[in-house]
Amino acid sequence: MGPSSPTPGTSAEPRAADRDAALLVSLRAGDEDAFATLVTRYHASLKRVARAYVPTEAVAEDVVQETWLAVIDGLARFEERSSLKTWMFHILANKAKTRGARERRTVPFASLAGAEDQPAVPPERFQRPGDAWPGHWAAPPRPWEDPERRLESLEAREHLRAAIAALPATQQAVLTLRDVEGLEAEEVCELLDVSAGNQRVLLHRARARVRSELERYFEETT
Amino acid sequence: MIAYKFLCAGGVGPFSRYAWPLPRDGGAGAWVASAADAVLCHGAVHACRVSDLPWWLHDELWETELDGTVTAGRHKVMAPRARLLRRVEGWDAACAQRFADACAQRARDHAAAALDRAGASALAADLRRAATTRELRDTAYGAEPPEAARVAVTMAGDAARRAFAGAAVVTAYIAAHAAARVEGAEAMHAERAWQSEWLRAALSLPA
Amino acid sequence: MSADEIVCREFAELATDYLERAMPDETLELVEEHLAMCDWCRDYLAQIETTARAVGAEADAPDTAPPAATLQELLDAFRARAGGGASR
Repeated sequence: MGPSSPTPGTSAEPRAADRDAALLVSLRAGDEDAFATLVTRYHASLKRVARAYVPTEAVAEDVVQETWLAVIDGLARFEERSSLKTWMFHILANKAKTRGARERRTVPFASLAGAEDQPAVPPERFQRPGDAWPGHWAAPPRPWEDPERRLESLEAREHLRAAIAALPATQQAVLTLRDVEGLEAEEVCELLDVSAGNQRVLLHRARARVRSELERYFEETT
Repeated sequence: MIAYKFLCAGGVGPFSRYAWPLPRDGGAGAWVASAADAVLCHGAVHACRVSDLPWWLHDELWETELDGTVTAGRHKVMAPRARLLRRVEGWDAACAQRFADACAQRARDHAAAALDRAGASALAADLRRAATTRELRDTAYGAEPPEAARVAVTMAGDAARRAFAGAAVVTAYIAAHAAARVEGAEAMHAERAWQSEWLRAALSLPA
Repeated sequence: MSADEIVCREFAELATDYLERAMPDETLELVEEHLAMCDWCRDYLAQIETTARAVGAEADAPDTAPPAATLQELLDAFRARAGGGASR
């Protein structure tokens, strides 16, 4: 327990960066398997982020397709001033913003952060005024036994995936960029054009909702 | 300045997870400078005065030397450098249990006082008669106190339950809040002072 | 939030801020005092960390590939670009 960084990006990031660097070499040499690997690896994350800007799955799919085509087109000129991953997400963000504006999605990304005012944990989990300990847990979380092992099962992964997919689009986008893709907070703020505070709120809401789904899953399967 | 630090088993900081260099061969542990080694609030190494001990109880207690300008936080002191001098051997699980039990009894005493004031002397006597923390827990939780004493009695039950599980820090917290509940806000400070003195005496620490 | 302490309901909102160390020292001090006392919030914090790590494993999840037709279209484009050489 303590303020250690929990995101896999932190410890896994050097390996992921190495893998992408190797991939880039193959991509530049025209290796189609490498390209298929790249697409398979990043498609879902790109779509989740696109979905925060555009009104439908179909439009998000469009935006991601355009992004991939732009990546193909830009590979030869890519100067590696950023990582391959960051570069691709920048292309996606630009295309998604443009498309989102065109689709007349009137609510800008940043303002959605305030709209989701549900607390991370429902109030009924805590004691009320008049109870012995107002604001303390009434129904505390129970410790999870061996969660990493239990989360390896196919069923658990499906529950996790469903929990992520059920999040509001903006929370999914931040969760994807921070916890799936391991981007730094500042990078994500810049990509999504949100303040550090809003970004953290979205990240925390997302993690809290997914945690509560995992809690339910663990309790149902004990 | 001499102060104290609680660490997890093995000499690891509970928040920083930093592995403190331990004293060896009769000498003190190596100096730890906050900027280099431990990222903590205020960018400083933290330690406890005797008055701070009840908030931070953990597996191991170490006498610690602080160096440089020492500043005070809410319930801690901070310094740019520190080193461990010696382990306070008297602090162990058994001592923590005795302390928790003592705090539970204090919570009981406050609840009994509240019951007396609310005219429920019989129930107050029941609570006082409980010889073990388990009995205290059961008596407190099973009681139907008058409304004026309800929360205090619940607190006493909570203190007993947590003491029974050996949870010293939370039992101390409960007792402090029970004191405030029954005797007023100023009583919390006095309760914490009582706790610090209990620990000081039990561990033979200088005042 | 009272200036005297942070309670569980407040910490439940601050857990990510705490993990990122994105809070003023005064708040951090209150959070640490609370965590020293509250095993339930420590469990909650650990679960938030576990959740974030579990989400991270999605990066290498096997079944998140695009539809076959989509992938084929992209491979064709990739092949054309790589084979063609000249920029448009």
